[in-house]
Amino acid sequence: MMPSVAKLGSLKLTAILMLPLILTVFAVSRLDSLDSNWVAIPLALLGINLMAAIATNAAFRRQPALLAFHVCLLAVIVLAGIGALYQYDGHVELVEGEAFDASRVELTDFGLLRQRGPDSPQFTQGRITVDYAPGLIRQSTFSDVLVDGVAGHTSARQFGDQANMTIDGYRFSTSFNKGFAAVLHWVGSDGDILLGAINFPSYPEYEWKQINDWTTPGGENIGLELELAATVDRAQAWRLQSEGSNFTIKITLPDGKTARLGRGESLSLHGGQLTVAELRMWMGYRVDSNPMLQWVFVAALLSIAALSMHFYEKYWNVGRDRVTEAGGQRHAAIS
Amino acid sequence: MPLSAETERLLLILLVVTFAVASLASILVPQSDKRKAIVVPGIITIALVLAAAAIAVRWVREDQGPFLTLYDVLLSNLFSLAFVYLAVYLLVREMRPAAIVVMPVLLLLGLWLVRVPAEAIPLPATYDNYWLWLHVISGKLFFGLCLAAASGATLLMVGTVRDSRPADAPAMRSTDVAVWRLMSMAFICQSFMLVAGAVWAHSAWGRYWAWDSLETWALLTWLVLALLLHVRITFKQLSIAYLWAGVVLVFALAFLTFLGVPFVSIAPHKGVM
Repeated sequence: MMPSVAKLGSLKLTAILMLPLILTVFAVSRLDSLDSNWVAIPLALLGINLMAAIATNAAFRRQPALLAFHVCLLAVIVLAGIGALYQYDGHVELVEGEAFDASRVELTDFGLLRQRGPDSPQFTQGRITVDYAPGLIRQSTFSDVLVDGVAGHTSARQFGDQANMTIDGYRFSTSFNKGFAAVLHWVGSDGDILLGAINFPSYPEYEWKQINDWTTPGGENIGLELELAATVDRAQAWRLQSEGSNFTIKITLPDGKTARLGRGESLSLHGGQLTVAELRMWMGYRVDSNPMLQWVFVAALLSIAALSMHFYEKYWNVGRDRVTEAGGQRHAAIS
Repeated sequence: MPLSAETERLLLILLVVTFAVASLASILVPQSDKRKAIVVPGIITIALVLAAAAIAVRWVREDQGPFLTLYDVLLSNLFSLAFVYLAVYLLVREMRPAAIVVMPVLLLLGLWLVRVPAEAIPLPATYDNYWLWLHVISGKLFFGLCLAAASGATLLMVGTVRDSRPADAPAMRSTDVAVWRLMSMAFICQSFMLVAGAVWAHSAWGRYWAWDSLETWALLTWLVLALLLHVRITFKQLSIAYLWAGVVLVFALAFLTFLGVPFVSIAPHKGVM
């Protein structure tokens, strides 16, 4: 039994298994079509090799710091793997005044063993501002929110580039993806009333195509284009915010006719009346949760500490005879 | 006026000239001459002062550190590489002959820097984070240690090729040990660089790893270095020259990661609108 485990934990096998890992990492970086999960295969094989080596390799018993480094490295691999099974990752866009709705999160990762996502609503989006330096360089992003508390109490919080918001283990991070949203009021001929927002593309990145479309409750598909009175002066410092923005919304009807509506102006359409209520900002958030992340971090730091200890013992805390062991034999061969 | 772009340019040209002088001195001044032992480290110290002054002038004028553009990265690396090598030169006697490789490399980087546009780009807000400092400092230590080790390995390779029966085998052996000590320290620094970078990325962009080009190449460099350290221990029958070549390969990968990939890949490490 042990000889086969020893073979499984051989250092030569380690070196050989590192090659496919290197190749897979390289391939993942070069081929968009290749899923990064493929890296898990050589990593798992290396993990098995490492476990067998820890069990059988006498060098680990002689060098406790080296053992600690490899155990921590194994812990990083295992914890990162477990974390991936419970990972929650997604994006959501929130308009000023809108409550967070977990069902609207566009998931990019939902771990196999994860049971559920965040509860909602947990907070309501407040004011969004983004400062720009001359040259259209994004500076500070500020997002104000009202967070639901116990017994109906709410608390105001602000977060942005350097401070994320974490609620019940879910982290909300602001992103570069943000823009304007037209708040529309619809009164149907049947008396139905709707209030909603149409998000325009990210601003100022897509300043040149602030367009979107919407199918009204009356069944008409209309085009909407945001026309701002002032364009961005790239040479000046500037603040992106909804306050004080003069705008019109250009409505394009299915027959090609157009109309321009300012704040509070209405247009009669098939099945009802559309009013442009106001212009607000929307922010694209990244929402993520990984219960293992802090433990991966701790294991990684411990592995570095153990590695430092090992090299100290190997190179500085012993006589040079031991130090030159590996290289010395080769020198004997060449000299 | 003292903090103007012209002052910075002048300091830069003086820096390049100093590296040229250091390159010549490393070739012409015999290492064994104790009376002249101060020459090479003295010139490197002058270069360090000039590089620090150029960085300070730029930092005060632009009100931000040298983190973002190729110019910034080259300038700060000229300082950090010279700083790390000076420390190695003073502390590790066996690595002193490596100046003959290190100084021309720094001279070439300096000549490259002179040709690079110096315009500053304001730092994105996400760069205002102390994890970035830890990430950058550990990265620069790694790069500097790699340069010193690769220069030592290059000399060892040249010495082996030139003389199939090296007359000075004990000296080669101690240089070889010094090379691996430096690579071990480089491995520690790079490991910390990756961890600190992941924490910074998590704070700055909401993800700790995203397989962007810079992250991937940094990981590849770490993996190749880890492989090299394993191979050295495991395959004892392998010619040591291959291991020295491996050290140079790790430096080449690090060079590509630090000074190539960030400037041909898209936005993630630069900030976006």
